[in-house]
Amino acid sequence: MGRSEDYDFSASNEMLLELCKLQDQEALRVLFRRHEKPVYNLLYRMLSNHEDAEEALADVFVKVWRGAGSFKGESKFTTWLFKIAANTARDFLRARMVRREVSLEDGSVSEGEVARSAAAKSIDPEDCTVREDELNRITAALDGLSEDDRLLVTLYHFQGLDYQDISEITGISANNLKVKLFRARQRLKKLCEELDGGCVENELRRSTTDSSGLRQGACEWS
Amino acid sequence: MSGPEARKVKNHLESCKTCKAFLEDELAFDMRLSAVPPVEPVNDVWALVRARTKPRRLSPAVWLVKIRSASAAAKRAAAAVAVVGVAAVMFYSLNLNEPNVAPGPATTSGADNVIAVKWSDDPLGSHREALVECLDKM
Repeated sequence: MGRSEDYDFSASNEMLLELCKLQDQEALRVLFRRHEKPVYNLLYRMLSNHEDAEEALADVFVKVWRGAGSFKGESKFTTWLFKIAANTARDFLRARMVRREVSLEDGSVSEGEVARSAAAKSIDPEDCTVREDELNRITAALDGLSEDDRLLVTLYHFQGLDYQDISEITGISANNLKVKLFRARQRLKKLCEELDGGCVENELRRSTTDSSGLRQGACEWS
Repeated sequence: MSGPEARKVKNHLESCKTCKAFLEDELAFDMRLSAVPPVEPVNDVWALVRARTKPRRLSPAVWLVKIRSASAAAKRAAAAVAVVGVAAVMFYSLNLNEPNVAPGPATTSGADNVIAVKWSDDPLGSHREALVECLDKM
């Protein structure tokens, strides 16, 4: 006993959380292994950065460990976990914003950070080279959304959660949520179309100036 | 949507090209989003979590819950270990009741007594006599 392998894999999340309350680190390990990927996926979509997403992932499970006693069983464990993850992502985004402001004030911000910051604030359709594939384009479009819109789109489209769960995680009523999600989705779609259009236009411009024609077809999405 | 409602929408879509195009556009965008592969952590983050969640002390209650949540194989293994343990304790306690080598301080010389001195709790061991002799001379 004592090793995670000793637990029946079907042991419920709630039972493992009970063990976490009793300071059983192996129970936390099982919970971590079971949920790290979906939680990380949410964090990465929110933070668009592997380093921050990993740091946030660790924070989420430290919060699970410390806050195991606060789980009342009124909602599903996964809903509770995603709520912690969403709040952690928000904390990271706020901290990042504060760091950026401080860096800009004292002039210590690097050119790369300024470029990333600009990319996050507004999508540059001309910048086709850094968004050569579909995944990068979706990520860039997500970056252009507000924090709340990004969370809604991520929970619904990338985590596959239903309205009820998203409503519990975000605290938005189910009817209001449908409207907000529709609007967020339309904004994302528009950003994607801008990027698609920018890539196509950029590519057309390149193909006319590039006599070798080797770069033709790099942005095939239209 | 309920049956009659869905039928109404379907009928409308058949006659309205604008709505049909909008729906097709939305479905295509759904497909595009669902094609985005999930991302996974680059590094193993568990080490970071473990370092930051040191258990204070494992409560005895943990063992009760552990037993409840353990797999059948683990339960059988634990039961087998417990049975072997109890058998070993019983075996040794029976052996201890039998008369063995008489305990007592080793005061005389000889191979057997040297071993007895080594196994006794006397920290001075064979130096005791020499020490007593020195103290007498003082």
